[in-house]
Order: sequence, then structure tokens, then C-alpha cells
Amino acid sequence: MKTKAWVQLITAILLVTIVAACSKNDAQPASSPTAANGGAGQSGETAAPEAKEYRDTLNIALTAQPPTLDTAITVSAVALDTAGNIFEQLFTLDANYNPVPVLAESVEVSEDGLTYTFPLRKGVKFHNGEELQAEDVVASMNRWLAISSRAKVLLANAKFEEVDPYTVKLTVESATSDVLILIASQAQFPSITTKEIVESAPAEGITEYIGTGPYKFKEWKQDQYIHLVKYDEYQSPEGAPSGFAGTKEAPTENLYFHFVTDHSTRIAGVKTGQYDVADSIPIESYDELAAVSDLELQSFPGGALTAFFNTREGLLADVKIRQAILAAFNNEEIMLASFAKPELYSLAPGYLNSNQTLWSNEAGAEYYNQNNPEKAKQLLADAGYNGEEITLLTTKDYNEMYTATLVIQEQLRQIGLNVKVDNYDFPTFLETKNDRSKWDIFVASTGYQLTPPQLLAVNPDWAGLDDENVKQALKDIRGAASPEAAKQEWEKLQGYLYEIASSTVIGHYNGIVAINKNLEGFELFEAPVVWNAKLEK
Amino acid sequence: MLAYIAKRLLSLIPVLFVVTAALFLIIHITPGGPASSILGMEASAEEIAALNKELGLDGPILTQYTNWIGKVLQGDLGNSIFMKQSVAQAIKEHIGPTLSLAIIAQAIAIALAIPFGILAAYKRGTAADYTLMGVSLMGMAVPGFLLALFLVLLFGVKLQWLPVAGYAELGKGLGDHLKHLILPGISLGTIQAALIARMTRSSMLEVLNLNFIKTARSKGVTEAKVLFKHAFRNAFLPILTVLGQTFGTLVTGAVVVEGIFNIPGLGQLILNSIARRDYTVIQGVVLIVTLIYVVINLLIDLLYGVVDPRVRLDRK
Amino acid sequence: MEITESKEYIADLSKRMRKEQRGLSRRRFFSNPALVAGAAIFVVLAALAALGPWLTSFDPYAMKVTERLKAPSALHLLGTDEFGRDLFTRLLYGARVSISVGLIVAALSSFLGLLIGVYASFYKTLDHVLMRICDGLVAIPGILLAIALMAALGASALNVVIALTIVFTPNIARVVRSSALVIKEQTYIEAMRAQGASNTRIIWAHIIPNTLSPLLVQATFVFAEAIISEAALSFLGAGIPAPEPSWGNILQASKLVIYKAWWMVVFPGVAIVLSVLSLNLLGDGLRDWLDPRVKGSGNGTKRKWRKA
Repeated sequence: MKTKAWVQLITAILLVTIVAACSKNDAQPASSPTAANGGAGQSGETAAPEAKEYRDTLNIALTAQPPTLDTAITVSAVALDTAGNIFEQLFTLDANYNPVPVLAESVEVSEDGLTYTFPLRKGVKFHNGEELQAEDVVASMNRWLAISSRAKVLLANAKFEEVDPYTVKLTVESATSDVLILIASQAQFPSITTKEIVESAPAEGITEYIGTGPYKFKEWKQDQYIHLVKYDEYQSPEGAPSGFAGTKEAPTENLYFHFVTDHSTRIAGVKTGQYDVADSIPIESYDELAAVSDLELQSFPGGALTAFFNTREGLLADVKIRQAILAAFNNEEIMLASFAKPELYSLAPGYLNSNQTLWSNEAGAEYYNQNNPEKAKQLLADAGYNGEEITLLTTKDYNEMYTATLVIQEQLRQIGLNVKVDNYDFPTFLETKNDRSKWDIFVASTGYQLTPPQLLAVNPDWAGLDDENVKQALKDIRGAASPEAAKQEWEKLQGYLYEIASSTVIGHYNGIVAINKNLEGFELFEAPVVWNAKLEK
Repeated sequence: MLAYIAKRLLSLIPVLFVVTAALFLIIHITPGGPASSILGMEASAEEIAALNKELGLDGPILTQYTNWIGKVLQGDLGNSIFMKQSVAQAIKEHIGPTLSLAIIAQAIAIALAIPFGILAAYKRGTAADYTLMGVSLMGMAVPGFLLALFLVLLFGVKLQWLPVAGYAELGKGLGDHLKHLILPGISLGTIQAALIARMTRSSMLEVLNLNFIKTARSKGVTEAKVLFKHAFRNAFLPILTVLGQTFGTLVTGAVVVEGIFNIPGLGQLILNSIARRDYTVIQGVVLIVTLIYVVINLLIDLLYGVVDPRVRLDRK
Repeated sequence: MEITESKEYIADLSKRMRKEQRGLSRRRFFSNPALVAGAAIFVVLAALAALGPWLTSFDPYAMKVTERLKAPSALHLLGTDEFGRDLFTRLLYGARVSISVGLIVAALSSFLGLLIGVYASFYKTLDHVLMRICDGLVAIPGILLAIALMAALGASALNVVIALTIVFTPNIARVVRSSALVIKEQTYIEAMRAQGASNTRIIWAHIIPNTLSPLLVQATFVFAEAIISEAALSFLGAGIPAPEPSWGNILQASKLVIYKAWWMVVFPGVAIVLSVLSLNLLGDGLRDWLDPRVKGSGNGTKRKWRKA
């Protein structure tokens, strides 16, 4: 008797489960369109057209909390997005990637190309009220030269000195064409802060954020937000806004940079108007957000997804094996899995941003996206491959890197390679990457570099590429007599990088940012630029 | 009584010692360090090593451990490596959401479990009893994170009734606060409800069979009074135990659920800290969470004495 | 109070076990609905896992990216995942991973817990050391301990087994220790000791056999817990590494596409629920079967270390 009841019960539970699953199935297609119209009508439409009134606060949703706002030590994109409002540089980039002065008036280069003299703008004030002077610039720049990983390599033994309180001088070891670009670069940018702060800076980065920018640091609520307020005594550089250059008006009093790691929260927040700008929209949510009438989706060249091969140790030290692997790559498939929407990525062998015409070329195209498993198998056989295991290193903390790695694993498995994936969290990934005995291939999505010598693909520290031809080519590029000559040198080098299969670009992806449709003055250039952004009440 | 409490507290010392030592060991054999999270993707091996050294993380483990323990004994949990604040401050900022969530989950669990548990005991052997116990069996088989995903799918994606993620501080209005905590509360509370319902049912059954209930009934006391005044009061002790145990696991067990709903509680703090290798925070939070768990168990034991004066704790 | 009860229980149990006949045992098995239902569901799941490769024509690893996130259809019974792999096939192969991780963890932690528990009950110093370590490990929330261990060891199926075994062994050790302490005080053990039997002989010939039935019940629950924990770890990205399918890492992938692909949440979810439900029923049923005096299944205290 009791048995029967139990059996009935279990049957009932199973039935309920199945029915529930099925009913979800039936109702699915109808569900998403209704989402869009829910939060409409939240922006005021009553304001008079002649005297627009603007909100005093903008809410920006970032994907992560910056590790620090000390731009000289970190390459974290969210740090730069935030810190760019607080700090300024001697030079920065306009929308055409030309270095233009910000805190410097101008620059004068000596004939031998070894001395750069920067007169400073007068009357610029730090957020603590002190005037910007040469000693502050010298201290900040010399610290950057000493600790920024790029400056250490590319500007080795360079030095800033004070000429007078409003002039500084930079001396470099050898004449190269990219000094100003390096100083204007965004990754690990040299922000100018006061001499006192530089001198008391602890190793993990400065903790007092005093800059000269249009916004000053107000509060950092851990794991929640950074609050910046308009700096009333800000002295803006001249010129129409372009890229990171031009006037900065700070029309909005408060900027809140919220750290919203969870994608669905960030998306829900920008849909309901809780955030006016949301960074790094995952491609899976693109269609959903595109359907929301209050929002606008903007995209910008985000970077190149690149696979790096271990040219120093293990099986891949053999160039034949690397060439076999390169022949097996189906980049279209990798990009589709990683970035889902073909209109938001592109395939091209160039390592740099294709908008930079100077460095854009097609060298190496014959090795790029070959998708030729037969050739790959042949090359493997020629190289005498015998079932040895190769290791793909990756981290789930970056979804596109992880996804790409899994597709590559499958493509390599198809040509008969024995492949394993080692997945770690980000800190372990970095540490393992630096031990070249532990991996053969890794994929990284990194933002664009401005010049070939800054590329990670040619940096011996990054993936261990140690090749005399590459080193010589880089010297030639930097020392080239004209931009045209430099362009040709780089074209040769890019072709060579593919020929020896040291690494390969997989594809170029776009970063997607969702903004409130009514946001004015917002610019997307390498990063969201919000210092001229305002939103009508 | 006091002697008992003192004895219990003293017995905590070896437990906490093992907890902290085990943790310290695990953390320090973990590859990767806080420096790599601070410096970012392009940092070189030398830079990472240099910063780790500056942060004082290159000494022998034993020295680091004794330094840390020494400070903890003076009530100082140290400073976060990654966040610009002390560990105590970080815990203070993150404990609110976790406690709110635990309380709401427990409230949901009790509100569902005790009435249904009593009902099942009262209607023992009927279809209602079997259905309720069947549902509770199901409830115990659905892990919190899975239920959370199902709820997000149903309420967030399909019905769009409730926010699927995020958190509103209590200070910004109770309604909004609760709205954000209902789904996570149900996710966490369901398993507890299932456990409490089963406990309630079985301990009510035991009591209902006792003589004094029969006596009360024969004296013509109303059924409701028999159930709630006589039976439930006497069945409460084992239920209380389960309540205490489940509350402890609620506070500690929110780790995954907080992640799914993006609630900035202790669970999120510790997961973030593990990913950033923020050693001092990991150690501090686990120490505090363990303490909470142990103290709640102690409180439950003490409550025994209050609820049922026959229970003497200081004698075995 | 509890002690005397368990004493009777053990004495009763050992006497009964010897007397019981197979026929009686079988009849009692089938009159125990929880046991039958639990065993039935579990056998079906295990059979699906074992026969997986013969039930599907798809390769669980072969990607077809253009077919990604397709809804269930005649071709793909349960739809496809984010790489265009057949979800039904992934679930079948995932069942092998999830169930075998659970089984191995249950077996290993039972074995270690048995040794620790029994030896601790016999040697005083050992008892102090081992039990303090167990107390400490039990006090750390299980899932946190597992996550920290996985961060230290690195993600692999073997390390999931190691981490979960470390998490579950102390619980089993404590259960075994308390029943061993009771058995140890039995008169017949005292008698043996008086006859000069060595500790080793007493432990292996008498204590361990008598702790096996509570251990078996406990192991069933650990099995269920281990399946949940593996899923939770993989869900957090700290468990079974891709591309190996497990129910947890399918769920992890589903979180990113929950707005688009409900099937990636529902089906692995149902698989986890069914396996845990069947093991819980099996555990409850086993307890009743091994000890007919315990009626009903209302005792909730066994599951106090629920985590995820």
C-alpha cells in the first residue's frame, strides 16, 4: 500500500519535471521582444528646447574594478578608462593617432634627434591647488621611464631633466622616430602627478590620485564604484575634441564608474537607465540590446586576437611543427565561436589597427587562415611528429581567449595532434606563461599597439621570441629615415613573423559599448571618452 | 553555565589554529600572486617577482604566518593587498548583503517549512503528507546554484517580474532591497526549507505519539491548541538545532548564489580575493566566517537551556 | 541517551545481520519504496552513462561552429552548445565524468574516513591530533575549501577528486569514530582483549565490519554531495577542465547564453537533480533497510554539511 503511494509520487515528480521542461520550450520564441519596451519613457521629454538642462551625474558601468589608478604600472583597460579623466600627459593622441601636446606647449627636437625640449603650459593647477611645474613633470616622467615595461625597453637610459620651472628636457640614447608616440601612448601612460606623490609612491602604485585633469578623485567604494567630481579650476587645452586631445569641458558634475563584473547585471542596468554608458557588452547580448529603443550601440576597433607559439622550448621550437599548426588554423571558425557575429569582427593578417594606414599591410596573407588540414598533416609527417603532447595555455577569466583556445584544440586534434588545454585563473595564467617549459601555444586578446616595436608579438619577454632578424628589423623600423621606409621595413618583418610561424593574428574584434541614445558629446576612441559627455534631463 | 561557555570558547582555539594554518598553507602553494593581478596582462616575470618582494610575500611561509597570527591576536586582520582598505573594513562593507540574504532565505525557509511540516505530521500517511514529503525530497536534490539558474530563466528571462541580478542597499528603501533578494533568497532557502520541513514532521510525529498529547485530547483540548501549544512547543528543540545548523550554512554557503545574482557580499569578496590572490582578505574572511559558524552553533546549544530547562549543558 | 541507543542498535544490528536470510532480505528490499525508486532511477542514469557512446552518433568534441546554439530538433535532440556540439551527446559523456567523480570521491573518502575514524577511536594521542584537524577542516565552509584547493592544485579531474576527498573525509571520519567508540565498549570486544587479541586484529576483524553499514549509508550521501560539489566547482570554472564535458561545466557555459539557449540550463540541471534525488532516496532507503527500526525518512541531521 505504501509502495504504491511512493511509486505514484515519483512518477508524478518525473512528469512535472518533464512538463516544466517542455512548456519552457514552447514559450521561448515569444519571450525576447517584449523585453525591449518595458523600461521606456524614463527620460524627460518636457524640457524646453531653447534652454536645455543637463543632468549632474553620469553613471558608467565598467567590467571590473581597476587594480589601481596608477597608470604607469598597470595596463588594465578599466584603470585607463577611469584614470584618463583625472590625469593628463605631456602629449596625447588625437583621433588620427598623431601625438599632440596637452600639458606641454609644444616640443622642439634637436638635430641629432637625441634631445627633446618641452615648454610647459603655464597656470595649470593640480587638484590640490598647486601649480604644475617642471619638477613634477621630471619626477613623474622619470618614474614612468623606470617602471613602465614598455618605456624600459624602448626608451632605455632616457632621462628627463628640468631646464627651468616651465621647461623640461628629455635625452634619449639613440635617435628614433617613435619617441613622441611612446610618450603619448595609452597603455601604461605616463600621467603627470606631483613630485611629492611620486617620491612617496609605494611599490604597488600611488594611492593618492592628484592630477591635472578635468575631474578630480572623490571616493573609491571598494568593489562598487569610483566617484569623480568636476575640477572647477581645470585649464583645458585648446582645439576641437579629437581622440584624447582637444578641449575638455566637463559639462557633468559627477562621474560614477561602477564595477559591474556580471554581464547580465550590466546589461539589465543599461536597459533600465541605471547606467548611461556600459562597457564591454558581450556579443551574445548584442541583438537583445540593439532592439532597445533608448539605447545606442557603438563599436570601436578593440584589438587583435592573436595566437602565440613557443619558439624557444618544447615541440614547437621546431619551425616545421609551427608551420603545420599554422596551416591547420581555420580563423573564421575561431572568430565565429569567440565573437559570434561576423559583422563585428574581421579577418586580416595585420598585427596593428587597420585604421593606422602607415602600418597596415597584407604581408603574410599566404600563411594566414589557411584552413588546410591536409597540408598540416603532411607538414607534421615531414617533421616526424610522433604523438607528443602539446599544451594550450589559457584562462577562463577572458572568455574570448578561452573559447578560441578550445576551438584551436579541436582543429589541432583533427590533424592528429595530441593537445591538452591548461586553464588557470588569470594570475596563474600569467605566471605559467612566463615559464616557457609549461606551454606551447596561448591565445591573447590584447588592445592595439601604436607602433610595431611596441607589439607583444615581437617582445622577447611576452612569448619568448628571440630572433636576431626580428631584432634587427625593429632597429631598422625605429631608425628609418622616412615613414615610408619604416612602413616597408615593417611589411617585411610582418611577412617574416608569419613565415617562421612565430605567432598569428586570428582576427580583429570590435569592442562594444552601449550608451543612452540621448547622450551628447560622448566619444569612443580606444576607450569611452566621457569628459565632454552630457545627458539632457 | 559560564564555565561551559568558557570551555567551549577554549576548545575553539585548536580549531581556529588548524583552520588558519591549513588555509595559509593552501594559499601559499597556490601559483600566481597578487602582483600579477595588479600589473596586468603584459607584466614580465621580473616585474611580478619584484612587486611580490616589495609586498613582503617572498619570506618563508612560517615567518609570514607568525607575523599574521601575531597581528590577528591583537585584533588586527591587516590590510588588503589589492583594495586600498583594511581587511576589517572590507568585511564590514560586505557582510551586510550576506546577512540580509541569509535572514531572508531563513525567513522563507521557516515560513514554508514549519507549517507544512506540522501539516504533514498531522495528516500523516495521507496524500497530503506524501506530496509534501515528496516535494521536500525534490527540494533537497536541487543545489542552490541550479535553482538560481532555473529561477533566473523563469522569472528574469521569461516572465521578467523580478531583477535577475544586482543589489540595492537597505538604506535605499526596503522594497527595492527585498525585490533584489527574493530570487537569491528562494535559491538558498529551498534546501533549508526541505530540511526543516522533514525535521519538523518527524519531531512532531514523535511528540504526537506521547501520552500527554493523548491526555490533552481526551480532556477535550481543541486540536489547534494541541498541535501548536502542546505538541509544537515540545517538538521545537530538534527543529531549533536544524535551524541553527542551516543558518550557519546559509551565511557560509552563499558563495555561488551571490555570484550568480551579483550580490556584493562576503561570498563575492572571497571569490574575487582568491582570483586576485589577495591573501590577507582570504585569510580574514575565512577566519570570520568560521567564527560566525562556530558561534552560531554555540548560541544554539545555549538556547537549548532556555527553551528546555531540563537540558543542562555543563554536565555531560 | 544517544550512546545507549546506538549501543543497542549496534548489538541488535550485528545479531540480526547474522540471522537474516536472503529471502527475507529481498522481500524487505522490495517493500522499501525509497530504496527501489532510488535504485531504479540511478540504474537508468548509470546505464545511460555507460552505454553513452552507443546511444549517439555524434562526437562529443567535434565542433561545428556554424551550428552553435541551435534549439532542440530531430537532429539534435537536446539542441547544440556554444560550439555547435550536440548537447545530448555532451550530457551522456558528462554523465560518465560527473558520476565517476562522485563515485570515486565517495569511495576514497569512505576508505580514508574509515581508517582515520577507527584508528582515532583506538589511540588517544592520534585521536587528539586527527580529530582537531578534522574539526578544523569541517569548520571551513566546504565549497570554499574546495575552491581554494582547486586554485592551489590547478583544474583537472584528478584534482577535483583530491579536493573533494579532502573536504568529505573528515565528516566520514567523525561518523565512523563515534560508532567505533560505541562498538569498542561492547563486552565481547572487552572479552577478546582479555584473551590477548591485538588491537589490529580487533580493529580489522570486529570494529571495521560493524561500522560498514552506517558507513555505506553515509557514503551514499557523500556520493550525492560530491556530484553537487563537482557541478558547483565546474560551474565556477574551478572544476573539470574543458573540453571534457561534465554537467557542471555545461551549466557554466550556459550562464553566458541563458537569454538565448534555455536548453543548456534545463537539461544538465535535470540530470543533476535526478542523480542527486536518486542517491538521496537510495541513502534513506538503505538506512531503513539496514535498520528496520528506523521508520520513515524524516531525519534531516545527516545533511548538515550541505554547501552549494
